[in-house]
Amino acid sequence: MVLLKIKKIVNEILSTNISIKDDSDLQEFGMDSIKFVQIIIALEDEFKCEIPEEFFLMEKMNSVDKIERVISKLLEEK
Amino acid sequence: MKYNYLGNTDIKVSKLGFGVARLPEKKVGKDYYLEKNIVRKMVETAVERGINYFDSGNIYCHGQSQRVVAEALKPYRDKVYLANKVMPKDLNKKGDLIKKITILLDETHQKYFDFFYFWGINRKDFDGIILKNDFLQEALDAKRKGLINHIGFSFHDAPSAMQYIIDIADIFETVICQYNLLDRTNEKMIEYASKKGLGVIIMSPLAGGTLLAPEKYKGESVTVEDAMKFVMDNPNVACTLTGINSQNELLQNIQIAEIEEPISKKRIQYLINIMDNMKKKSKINCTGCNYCQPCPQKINISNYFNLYMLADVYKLNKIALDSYNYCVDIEKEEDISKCVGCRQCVDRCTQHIDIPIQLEKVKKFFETLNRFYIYGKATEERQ
Repeated sequence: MVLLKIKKIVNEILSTNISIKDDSDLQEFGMDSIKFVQIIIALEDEFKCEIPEEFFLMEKMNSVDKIERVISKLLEEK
Repeated sequence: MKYNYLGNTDIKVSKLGFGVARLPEKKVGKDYYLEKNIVRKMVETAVERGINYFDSGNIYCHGQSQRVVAEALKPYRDKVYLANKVMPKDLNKKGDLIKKITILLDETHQKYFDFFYFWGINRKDFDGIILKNDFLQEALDAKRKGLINHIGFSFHDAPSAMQYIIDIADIFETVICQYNLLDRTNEKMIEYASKKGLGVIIMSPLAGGTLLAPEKYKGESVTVEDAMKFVMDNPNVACTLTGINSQNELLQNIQIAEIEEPISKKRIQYLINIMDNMKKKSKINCTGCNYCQPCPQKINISNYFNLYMLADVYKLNKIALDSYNYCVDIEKEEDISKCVGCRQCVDRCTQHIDIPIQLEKVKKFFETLNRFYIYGKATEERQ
């Protein structure tokens, strides 16, 4: 469920209908600084959490599976 | 250099004017210093190449450029036109205008200003400050005393407000307003002002640098030349001001101003289409008409939406973020956080934007972008 929601957010913000593999580099699908920030905002809204600043680096959240690990950890800690 | 009559005045101004707001500075500690030698050279080059209109103001370049440019113009003073301005917020009671003009003349060691402007006015300031305190009459008194030769206003409001000001006040000889490929809101008013005999001077022909964004973001074939020619070749525009930052920029601008062949209608339409398509990419369809104003909390709504567009569409993240931080840190009066959701603006919005919700999104966006710049960058630097 978490993964599906993340994929929906990523697809919407990157404006792509292409099926993005979980380990694909999102920068190859057009993720730039602005889209990265927009993804963070959408994730925080969707999962009602605040993503810690330590993850505010594109390389730490530049694929769906990396994002999922961050979100899952945050949800566990809730 | 080509010259145009400035409205009904008998003055011919160069097609390209010299704006002093972005002159080169160096920072020493916390203080900024104007690069005086470079500025002197730039002024010298500008005059030699035919520029005869110099637009100054007392807040530009940390308050230093009006004095340095006036000093650099000393050998050429009779050949050029020097403008200065006063903001309505500096005019509180009768007598303040002449007092302010006198201070500015002293600061710049001038006997007179060729042009003097009510600076950045909107309808609210025009009615509530300028008309209320009879500053138009005071401007005429200043003219009679020889402190200023011509009176104008620079403008930041909805086009209808420009028409209102022009129709009410018959003393204005010139108007300065924003006009560029990205923001053509004032196009009809420029024509109106010109037909009414006002000399039209344009600021921000490059949209405050937005049109210098990387090619891939602003459209494949839009160049600085396109952006400048679009403004300069408008028959209702007498003079175009650019905020020149270096000798190279100055030479580039002069070169563009000297191109005799006008930009074609076909090219203009092509450029407009590119810009309109870029605008459509913005998630907030604000046209900047400002019909949403006045906001009871004084929030400059369209400005915040424009900053969001700068980042989201044109990828000018840093410019947009710096401007946002300036608005919320310095101009507390207009702080986006002050929105109380009264929704008066929503009823007035011509684009039916749910303004309070979108303002909240813009706020969240820039707060997160701030976090990204602070923490993302800091972590990168540590690695």
